[in-house]
Amino acid sequence: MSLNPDPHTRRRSSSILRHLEPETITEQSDQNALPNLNATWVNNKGAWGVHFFIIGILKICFDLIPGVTRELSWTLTNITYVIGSYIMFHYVTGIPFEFNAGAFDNLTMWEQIDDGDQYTPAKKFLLGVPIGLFLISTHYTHYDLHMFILNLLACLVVVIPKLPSSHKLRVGLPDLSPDTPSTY
Amino acid sequence: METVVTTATIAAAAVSPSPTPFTTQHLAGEQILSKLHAIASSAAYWGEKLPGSAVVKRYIVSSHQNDPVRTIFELLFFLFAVRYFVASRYSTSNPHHVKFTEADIDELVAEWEPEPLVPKTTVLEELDIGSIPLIHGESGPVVDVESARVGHVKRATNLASTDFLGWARDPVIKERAVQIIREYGVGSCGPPGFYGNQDIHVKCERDLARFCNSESAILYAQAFNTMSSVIPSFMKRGDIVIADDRVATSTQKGLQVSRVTLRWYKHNDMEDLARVLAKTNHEFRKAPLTKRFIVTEGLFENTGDLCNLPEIIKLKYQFKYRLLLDESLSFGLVGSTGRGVLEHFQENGHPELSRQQIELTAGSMAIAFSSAGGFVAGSDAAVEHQRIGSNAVTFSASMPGYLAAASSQAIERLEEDNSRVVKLRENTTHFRTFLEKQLQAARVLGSVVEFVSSPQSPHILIKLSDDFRPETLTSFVAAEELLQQIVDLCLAEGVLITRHKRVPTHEIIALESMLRIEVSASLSTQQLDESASIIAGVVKSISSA
Repeated sequence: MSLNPDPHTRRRSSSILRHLEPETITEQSDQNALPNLNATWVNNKGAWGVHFFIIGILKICFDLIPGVTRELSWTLTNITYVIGSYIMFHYVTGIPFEFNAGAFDNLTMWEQIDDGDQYTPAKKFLLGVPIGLFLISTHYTHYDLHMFILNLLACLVVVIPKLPSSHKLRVGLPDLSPDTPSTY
Repeated sequence: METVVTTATIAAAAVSPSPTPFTTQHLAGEQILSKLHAIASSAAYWGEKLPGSAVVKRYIVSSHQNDPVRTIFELLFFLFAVRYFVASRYSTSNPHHVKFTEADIDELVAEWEPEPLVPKTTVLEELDIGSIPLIHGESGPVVDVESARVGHVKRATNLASTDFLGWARDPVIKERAVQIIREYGVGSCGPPGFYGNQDIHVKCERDLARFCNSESAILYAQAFNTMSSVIPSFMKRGDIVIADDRVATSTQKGLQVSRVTLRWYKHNDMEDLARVLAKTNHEFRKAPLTKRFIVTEGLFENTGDLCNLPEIIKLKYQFKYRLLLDESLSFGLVGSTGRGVLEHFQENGHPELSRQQIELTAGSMAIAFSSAGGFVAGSDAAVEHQRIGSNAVTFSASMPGYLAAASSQAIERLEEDNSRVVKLRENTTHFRTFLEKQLQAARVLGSVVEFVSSPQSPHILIKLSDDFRPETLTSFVAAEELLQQIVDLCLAEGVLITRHKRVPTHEIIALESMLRIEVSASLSTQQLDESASIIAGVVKSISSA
């Protein structure tokens, strides 16, 4: 039906990287109908401060575990923070509330922040935190090579999806199955 | 191993001082080096004076740790972050945004011609507006009608009302409505969740649930809003709907608003439905599992025939779909006690069917129950979801109490005694057979007009035959105009029928011009016979003109 084309249909491709199709007019109007409560809060000051709070709490928790050295504690803090923020900003798509008939269902939270604009203050802050945490972690792990590599990989996992060139880019296995059903 | 040795030798050779003698170039290079050294030492001197420089120096020294590769790496990382921080904002959503200068804007503003606040009426709209009949006094089987195109007709047999069972004038129901108005007033003053529901509404919901054999039912204040609200309350973007391509306008609106992925199947073509279901399931086999619904109507308003419910229920289980059935027109009309299309099939060879096999059933009290509003029957969970999740329930004031009470009364009457439904069926069969005979006798059936609706349907639709194509009949509007002439001539002779009116801009399915005749249980055989003869006569006069 021409009036309501399926927004999720994508061209078949053998590449593991693919871009999301641009939004249709109806999707755009549904997205702009109301402020996106799932993404607007990241611009609040408290939302920035809570990152340092969470990192501090994580560090204290790992320090409390017997047998964890200072080096390991910093590395674990970095990795935990990175995994948490990856799930929150880059893995889960859509929004937990229902007010626009699923207009954001295909977008991660990072892509929803500031309506997808790049280099906004919130995005700069959110990119700066893992890089800062990486530099601190490597410093306090006394540049042990293994810890350095672990921290670096963890950092790259959250930095790469935040780059403007990763916007609406998805990684997945290509679909090579036949196009027509076996029956009918 | 050998390669490593070779590389090391080459590297050593490259690093070792070359035997060439000093040249002027070497002297110049030394001078530059010494200058650079001087700059660096003065920079270091002034740098040390800066506050915090000691910390930075200590950090750099301790982090360098004779590992230049890693230091460079960290430095690059740091520089990347700085570059990211100083980059300026840009929008990804509107990459082709055109920047206008002041002059451009002034020019565009000067060129702009505002559209009229009230758009000009189209030819079809003018036809619709000009042909609205005005009924003086009470509506019933015989009405006093005034029409701009015909004039005043004192007595016309009413074959245009959807009051099929004739309960709009029922004294018992009227009495009950009056009593409730005296007791409760006329308005409910709020949405159901906000003081709008009174005990009579709850009673009506229970009566409806009992009448439909469902767990629960929920009232909607407006019959038209029922389907267009229940669809978006359960289905949203990404969900899949397979719908019959003849569904009524309210269903189409719901499907549009809900933003579902929509696939049509040919009206009542079960093979096509199976094909579309298989194709769609294959197409979305790797997509995340979302809600999948088949949406269809019991008695179709647009075609006047019944859906093939047993086959649809079979297919829905086979392909793992849910079913939303719009029984707005079929409740009270179909089945021996008026319980709709489900009862009809239960009585005709499918006793195994039950209401529990239909996830959601929408209905209307504005048609056979002669009241107002709609309802949705289903499981407790499905009904509870709508109480806060369906826009027409949450944000719209509930129906006036007396209308709910009138509906309850009509349901009770129907449960006690189905003589009206039986009478309607007799009237339908009689009128339809007689009209067919009259049209045949006038030699117009098949050549000028043909029936669209099925023989058992009291909602009779007649379209112009494909063979009948006079030269003037060039467009949809021309066909509507021709049908309106039939309607007008019938009214002049004392029979009120109507066109199957719709608003083209609100339809997403193809339109067909049709006459609409509604048989009522309150009409006598004589009235029906006279009306059929008049309609046949008018059609004949139109065809020979």
